[in-house]
Amino acid sequence: MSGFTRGLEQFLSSLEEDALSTGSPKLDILLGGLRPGQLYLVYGDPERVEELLSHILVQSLKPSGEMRPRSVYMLCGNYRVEKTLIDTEGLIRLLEASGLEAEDALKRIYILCAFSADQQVSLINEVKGLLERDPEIRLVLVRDIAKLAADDARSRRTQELLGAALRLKQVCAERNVPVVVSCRSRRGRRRLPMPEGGEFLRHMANVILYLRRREKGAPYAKAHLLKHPAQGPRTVEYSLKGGEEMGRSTPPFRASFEETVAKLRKEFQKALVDRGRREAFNSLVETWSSELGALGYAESLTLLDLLLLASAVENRSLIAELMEAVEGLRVEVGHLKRRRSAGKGADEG
Amino acid sequence: MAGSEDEVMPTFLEPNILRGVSSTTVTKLLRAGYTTLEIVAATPVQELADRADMGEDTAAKVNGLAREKVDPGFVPAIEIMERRKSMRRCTTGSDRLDGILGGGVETGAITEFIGEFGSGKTQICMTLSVTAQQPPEQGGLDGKVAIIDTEGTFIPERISQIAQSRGQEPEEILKGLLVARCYNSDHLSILINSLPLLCEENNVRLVVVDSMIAHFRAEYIGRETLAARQQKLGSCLHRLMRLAEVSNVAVVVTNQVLATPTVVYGDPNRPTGGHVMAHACTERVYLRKGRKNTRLARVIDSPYLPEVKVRFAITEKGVEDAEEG
Repeated sequence: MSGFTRGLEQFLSSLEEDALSTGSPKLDILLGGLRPGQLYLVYGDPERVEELLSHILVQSLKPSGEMRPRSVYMLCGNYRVEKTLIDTEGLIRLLEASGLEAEDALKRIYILCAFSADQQVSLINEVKGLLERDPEIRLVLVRDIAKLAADDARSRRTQELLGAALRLKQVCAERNVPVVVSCRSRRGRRRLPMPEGGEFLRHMANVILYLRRREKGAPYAKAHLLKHPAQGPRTVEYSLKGGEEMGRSTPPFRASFEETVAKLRKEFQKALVDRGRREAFNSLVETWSSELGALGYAESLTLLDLLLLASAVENRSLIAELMEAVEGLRVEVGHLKRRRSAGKGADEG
Repeated sequence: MAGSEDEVMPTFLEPNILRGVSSTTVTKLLRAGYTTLEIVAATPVQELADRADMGEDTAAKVNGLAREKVDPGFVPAIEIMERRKSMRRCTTGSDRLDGILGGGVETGAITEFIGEFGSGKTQICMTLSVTAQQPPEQGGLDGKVAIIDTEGTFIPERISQIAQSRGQEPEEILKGLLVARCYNSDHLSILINSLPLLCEENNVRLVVVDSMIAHFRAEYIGRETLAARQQKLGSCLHRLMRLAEVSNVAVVVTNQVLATPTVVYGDPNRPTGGHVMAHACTERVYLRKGRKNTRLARVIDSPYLPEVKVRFAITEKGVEDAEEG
């Protein structure tokens, strides 16, 4: 059919495709994971953005099977201010918390840095070349994609830059790699600040996520989903902190939790085609992830199993109750039918 | 809304249907995707010659003969009126939005939805791809849907959700969708070329291109490339228009907006694609975000529809009427 495939086939393959995790189960459910070929635009409080990007980078480096995936990290015009290309210390901490060998994982990151808009355009072209040469790249991450663009969205340089970014999206879509880009926020007349980069960037992004500054002492940060092809705007509270803190006391816990959820998702794949079940499963994961902190400090790691068991037992008992109720109704209907036919017989008689 | 029995059936191209045209020429035409006399008659001679790999003289001859067979030339307006009755309309899911479109998205025309990000363009497309598969009694077109997805926004789970909420079997709806992911503007052109054949073979009644402009905006930067871009865009749109008219399918495209810095008061956004886009689309609908997760739609260009503004909502069911208040 020359390039056309049936929607059902796409649906089934989308269930199989491995969406990349963001590091927060709540954000994963909100976004549906980071899907191949999609462009995710994250902006807002610089600290929260930085934190999320680091977690995503770490997640992308986790080996899957035999594959030792690589990721591309591109920084645009930040060097002069912060004097750091990438926060290696923070990354190493996160990598170790996720049970990865830091040195090996760091070797698998391609780092590029652009100091001017022209450089950024040529680097984006380089990333395209990298993607063609290295099939094991699993993620492309671009920090401050619109920083080097001129303020005037109609200026030629801005258009060139964003055009190059969109071409990068085209290549990543062909190679089945998700692209995560960040940018600064711009105050405007609206309630929520908008990302810089103008309408063009907003149209280009498949998903737009605004991260709010965490209030003092609050355990959770807030994320606003502004654009998503399958969901309306909504706000969630999420936490990424758990990973590091827990990592030190019980290193493999978070990793094992994620593994278990991924495994369950794979095992129940067929059952999860049904929307109701998928929602039930998601809400369970959401509940679990809220309990993650508590679970991390718990003595036994089998709590998750217990929860699973409990939910299975609960379901069983609910099913039994329903069966009983149905049986009761059936008997009642039988009675009524018999009475009606008896009544009819008496009338005719 | 007329039933399918009123519809004019296309004349399929086969050997000996055109006097004096060899079977080799016919095979060439069929291989290039020209399956009906209507399509042959509506295609420019140059394009026939290029795509079917034949001389210009032969192409002109074939085109002329096909035109004689199917194109009656000037016809009384009353006949056009009759023909318009064979047009069918597909519900968007919202009665009010249907209302401003004169009953829904029309077959034989291009309907364009314009709006900034998150204004509901993709949601309208997804809802239409479910409703178009419903029988005519339920406001559908009773046919399959072809989607060209240039932005990667086609999410099958969402389609299945919309279908389920509308009481349809999600699996059947997904089976009736033909989706192509499009990676660049040349690819778009190739996909559009393959549409006539796809529509005939699979009984496609609705073609969705979401979005029409994205790749063109990325690939053609600066004023000096504008002419080339507009030509290519125009050619794609023209072929879609021909497809809509010849195969009597509904074509829906989406378009982005760009901000005009010179506008001080009011909405600074205007549709991209310039005059080419504006002239090619039969109906243009401008979408805007409203309060409480509602959207506002306004017809900004149509040969006969008045400019009215309505409010609709995006819910589990896709697009539906917004509650008053």
